[in-house]
Amino acid sequence: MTLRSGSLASLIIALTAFAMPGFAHAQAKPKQVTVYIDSVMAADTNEGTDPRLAPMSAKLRGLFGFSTYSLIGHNEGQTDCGKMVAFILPGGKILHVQPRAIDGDMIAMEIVLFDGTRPMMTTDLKLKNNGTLIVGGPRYEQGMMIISIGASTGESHPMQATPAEANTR
Amino acid sequence: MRTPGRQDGDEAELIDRSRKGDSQAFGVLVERYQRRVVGVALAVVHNQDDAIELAQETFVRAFENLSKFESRSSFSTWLYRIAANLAIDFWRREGRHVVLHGEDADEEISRLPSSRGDSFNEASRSELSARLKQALEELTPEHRAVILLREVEGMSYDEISEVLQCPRGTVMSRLHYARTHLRNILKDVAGS
Amino acid sequence: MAECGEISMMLGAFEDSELEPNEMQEVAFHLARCESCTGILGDYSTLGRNLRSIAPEPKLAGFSSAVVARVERLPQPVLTRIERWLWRQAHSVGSGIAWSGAVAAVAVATIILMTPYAEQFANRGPHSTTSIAETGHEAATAANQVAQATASEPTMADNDSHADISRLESENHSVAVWSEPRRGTTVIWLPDQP
Repeated sequence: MTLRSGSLASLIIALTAFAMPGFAHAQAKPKQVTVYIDSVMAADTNEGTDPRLAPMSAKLRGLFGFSTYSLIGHNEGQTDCGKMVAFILPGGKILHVQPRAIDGDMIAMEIVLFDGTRPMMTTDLKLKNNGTLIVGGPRYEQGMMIISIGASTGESHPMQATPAEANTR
Repeated sequence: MRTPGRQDGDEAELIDRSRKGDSQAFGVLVERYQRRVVGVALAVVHNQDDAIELAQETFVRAFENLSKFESRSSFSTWLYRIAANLAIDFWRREGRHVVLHGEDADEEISRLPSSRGDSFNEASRSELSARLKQALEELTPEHRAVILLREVEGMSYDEISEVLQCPRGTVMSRLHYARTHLRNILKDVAGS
Repeated sequence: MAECGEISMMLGAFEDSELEPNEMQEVAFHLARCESCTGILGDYSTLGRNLRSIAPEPKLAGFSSAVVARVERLPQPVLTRIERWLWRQAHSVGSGIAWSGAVAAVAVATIILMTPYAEQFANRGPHSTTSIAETGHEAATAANQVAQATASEPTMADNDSHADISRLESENHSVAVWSEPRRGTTVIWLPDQP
């Protein structure tokens, strides 16, 4: 083996030795997911769309044909993959979100929606990073509740422009 | 049910070997699809013995006509279509259109297969299932086929359309009719 | 707003998730306001359960062997029988020849391909080492370019949020799921039970 090839081999070994702890650290550190929940009341009361719902108003109006959309709750929670985070929503609803893994650009998670203690829905899904899932249908006061569920691994979320606290009813 | 035009390499080889007379290779295909083929036949004739015989005939016909099978549709679709055609022809030929009433109906209905056996003999549920079986008998084979292929065999509208060789719209309208008819029967039983 | 008569024709297909997304939305929207149609949908769901509960489980023991036995008893044309016998013979002989040929071909290809490299390794010197180092540098540069391109791309969150649902359980018989690719959203519909 020549001197230059020996130097190259030593360099590779040294780089690997320095990289291993970082690699191990990256593997050991649990991946964090931030979950964003927006609770919306949709009704036919001709009151227009809550300005705090601006980032998703076009989507809501396109999906549902109501004349009023009001933000009735906003929740955020950060959790590690494998750990569940719970949100108390208006109307006695409780949402459990447990990210399971991050698979490329998709976040695998389990979501359970409760009405009090009664489970309404359990779903396993993969949600695109910074994507949203809409759960709609339960009655709320004079209208219907729409729950927008978003998840992010760290990049800015569209709804962060909305004030964190909504005027709850 | 596979997308028309696509076959697993494994299945394509089995079909090819079956075409050349390999009965054991054909036996593998039979094992794979027997449950569904019987289900299709049962959806039409609603008699288990007849359905099993028709299913056997389906496979024999398929074996005889393998040279005519083209890869444009899936093998399963082709099989189910044979089964549905045989079953509908059988039903029409045997003339089982008789609607029974009273004691004759009870006797005939009690001979129909039930998956629950004795546990199914609770009073109200027994009456409901008996009435439902009778209502199914009252449907035409085409209407009975669509409702049972959808609800029991879990086929999609497109799959049912291919098997029964009728437009998707016809499948939808037959399903609507069958559901409405059977729902009214259930409401009558619940009311009484 | 769609009338009940119009919606009732679509309820079965809604239950079966066989409507177009805009139709699913229209029916879901109507069901949120109409207890009568919601009740009909519940009846359809109950009907399906009842039909499945009375469906017999076919007795299939011995079915496939009976079919194979019938198939083997089928009369075959003489020419077909000869052809099939010849095919079976050819298959068993031919498979042996085919395997031997394949092994020989792989061995020859290996020798042909490896010969230049064998000579190269035997004559390796300073020039070869430099080539490896340069190749590593080019790969690192390319990786940096890819990383920068990815960071500068706008996130797709605003336009292409999407969920792939692998499991959905609910006691609600009227639960529905549909995707709105144009709006980059998946919707789970859970209307209250009447």
